[in-house]
Amino acid sequence: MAQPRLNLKNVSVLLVDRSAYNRALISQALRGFGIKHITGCETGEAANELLKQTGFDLCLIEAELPDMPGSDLIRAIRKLPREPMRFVPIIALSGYTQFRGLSTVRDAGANLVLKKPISPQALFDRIAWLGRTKRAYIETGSYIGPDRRFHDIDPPDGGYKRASDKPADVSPERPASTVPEGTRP
Amino acid sequence: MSSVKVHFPVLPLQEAVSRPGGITRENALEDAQKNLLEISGEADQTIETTIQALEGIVAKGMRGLSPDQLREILSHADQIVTLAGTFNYVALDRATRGLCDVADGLMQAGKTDAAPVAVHIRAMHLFSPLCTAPSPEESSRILAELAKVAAHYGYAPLG
Repeated sequence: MAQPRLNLKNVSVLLVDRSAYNRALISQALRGFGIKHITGCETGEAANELLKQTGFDLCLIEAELPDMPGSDLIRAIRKLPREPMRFVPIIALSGYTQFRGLSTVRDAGANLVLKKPISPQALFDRIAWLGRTKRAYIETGSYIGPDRRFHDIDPPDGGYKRASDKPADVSPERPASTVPEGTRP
Repeated sequence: MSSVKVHFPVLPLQEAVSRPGGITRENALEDAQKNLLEISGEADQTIETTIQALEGIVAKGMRGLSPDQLREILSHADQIVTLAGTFNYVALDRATRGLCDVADGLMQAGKTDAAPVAVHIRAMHLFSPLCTAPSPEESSRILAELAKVAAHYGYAPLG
């Protein structure tokens, strides 16, 4: 059977990370996926300026930026007046020492959080997931972002990330209907 | 009662990925890996420079590291964790994570001890890709000694 394909040629990406070298690493991986339009910047301020001028199809934002928390930038994007930019898929990037900010970026409206070091596999699978999974967006007084409630949605390409996700792991003593919600992808 | 709106946006990313053509996962990962290897030499140099920057901070703070110095150490170490993980420098990765755990623990506890930080950075220098690599036995011994330092302080790993 032919493998499913992902066409990322015309996708434009905004990459915000304080380290030029990290930006280079991630850009190299993205280019390998066929992405040609990558715009990198170091600060939240620079990203805000870019967002005033143009739109992007995907944003990768570090959880801690030199001039502001990544969550502030994510919130600013979610409050942009124009659609579909305000609902752009956002992957928040977290360093090993930045784990305390993870719930903040999630609550600011990030679609996914990815911990560094970022492997090409993890990055590709997240982008595939965002590209192929339709999600509703919720807007309330305090939150604008993806609906975080998942139902029975499998990962793209039928791949499973954890052994516990495989249906085969559901033993007769533990019927599928009792698999805890949190163990689903 | 506050209002809740539910949107079902049509996203350009979702439209783009379903267009004909494109790349399979296998080919995408192969190309990404190739591209990363192209810059591995620069990564090695960046690791070396960053370790030197860490040594400079510790040299200035041997009598006690300020919270700002510890924060700076964490920021540099975070970069090395990323590079070591990306290029699979296992021993360097472990030593640097150990440094992050200790530096963060010291900062949270309001302590200023420089010795546990210095010993981790010295080990990282030994594991730097631009230095002659210690033998597997030596590496294990060094990492075991670092683990003793971490155990002495009892700070939980960050991740």
